[in-house]
Amino acid sequence: MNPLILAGVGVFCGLLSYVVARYLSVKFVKMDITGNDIHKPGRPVTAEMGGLSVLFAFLIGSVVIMTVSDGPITLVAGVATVAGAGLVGVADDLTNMKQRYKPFLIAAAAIPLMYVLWGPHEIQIPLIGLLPVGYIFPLAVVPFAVAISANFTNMLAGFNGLETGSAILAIGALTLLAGVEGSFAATVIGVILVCGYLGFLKLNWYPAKIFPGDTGTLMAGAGIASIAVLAGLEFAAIIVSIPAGIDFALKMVARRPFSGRKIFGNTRIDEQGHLKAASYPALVHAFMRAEPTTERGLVVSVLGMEAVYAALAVAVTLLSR
Amino acid sequence: MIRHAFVIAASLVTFIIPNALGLAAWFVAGGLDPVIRSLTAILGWVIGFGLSTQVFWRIIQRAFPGDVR
Repeated sequence: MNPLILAGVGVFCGLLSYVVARYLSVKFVKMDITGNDIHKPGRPVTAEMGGLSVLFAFLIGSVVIMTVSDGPITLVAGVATVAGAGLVGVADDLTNMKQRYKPFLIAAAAIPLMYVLWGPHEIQIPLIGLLPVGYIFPLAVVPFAVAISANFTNMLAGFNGLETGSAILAIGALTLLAGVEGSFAATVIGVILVCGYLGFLKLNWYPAKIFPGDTGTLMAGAGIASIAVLAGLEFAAIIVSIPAGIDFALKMVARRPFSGRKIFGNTRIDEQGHLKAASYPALVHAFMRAEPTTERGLVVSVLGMEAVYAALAVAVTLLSR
Repeated sequence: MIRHAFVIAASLVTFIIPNALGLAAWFVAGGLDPVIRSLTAILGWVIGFGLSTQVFWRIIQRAFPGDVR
């Protein structure tokens, strides 16, 4: 496929995502699909579920690519998995679904990928080489990867631009590697997602006019996992997911796993706009402890960390080829 | 910002320790069935990651004392 066509579709998806998000940022406030921006004085009411604009742009962009390029079945499966995770997010944003159901529903969204990747498989690991995992790959690795990645992305969140920026850096790095590996389906999914999130970031950056909601975060995680399994970039996906993995592990091994926020409350802000960490371990709290920081400063630092791991993933993968 | 850069640098233990343990598990399980050997390496990596996040948090607690438990 001509790269210029893909770039053109990407730019179109970015603009479409921005226009739809701008519309939703007003419409959802009127419809009361909102949340409070708890890290600002006065806790302003802000539109939620903005990831719907990325999902819309992603589906339109994918259909355009499939129409002009006679897309392979792997592309259809990848798009179905990412869109399925996005729909689970929509249901969660609208109904506040119980946490325990989400991983199973997202794993179910991975069934199209499990189908097209059916067969014994090997995972490429630097220094080791090919790690044979047989039928465990389609049966367990694929659904686990999609469910875990989606939930990781959903946990390291809650600050303006953090989820969207992390998604752009992580998916961007994997898309670059998928292009180098020559995986058409993974590259297309990555380009459309990155452009969609870039368009959305304009309205999600501090001070946010709209939040991505679970629609945006679950879809980003499913996108990372889908690109990884389609292009054989599982190890690179693990590296780009390390910041979210640290946050997950810190919360999981706490005295009361995942109950820190309920027990110790939310992050507080002082008169100067500096964030004060609640008393439980979390990645963002490490940055807040290190020095007084504003919401924007915190997000820039966490995105800097994500950029380090994205660069590490690219370097390790390219050096071990 | 320098302190935030220190946090990012400290987090690299979560890259180094799990990969070292995963690699060690791979070589220790040398005589086993290839799939079992792979699963052993993955288990080594996962245990290493869990341990390394605790090492990371200890470094943060030592460097920046506060009331976080």
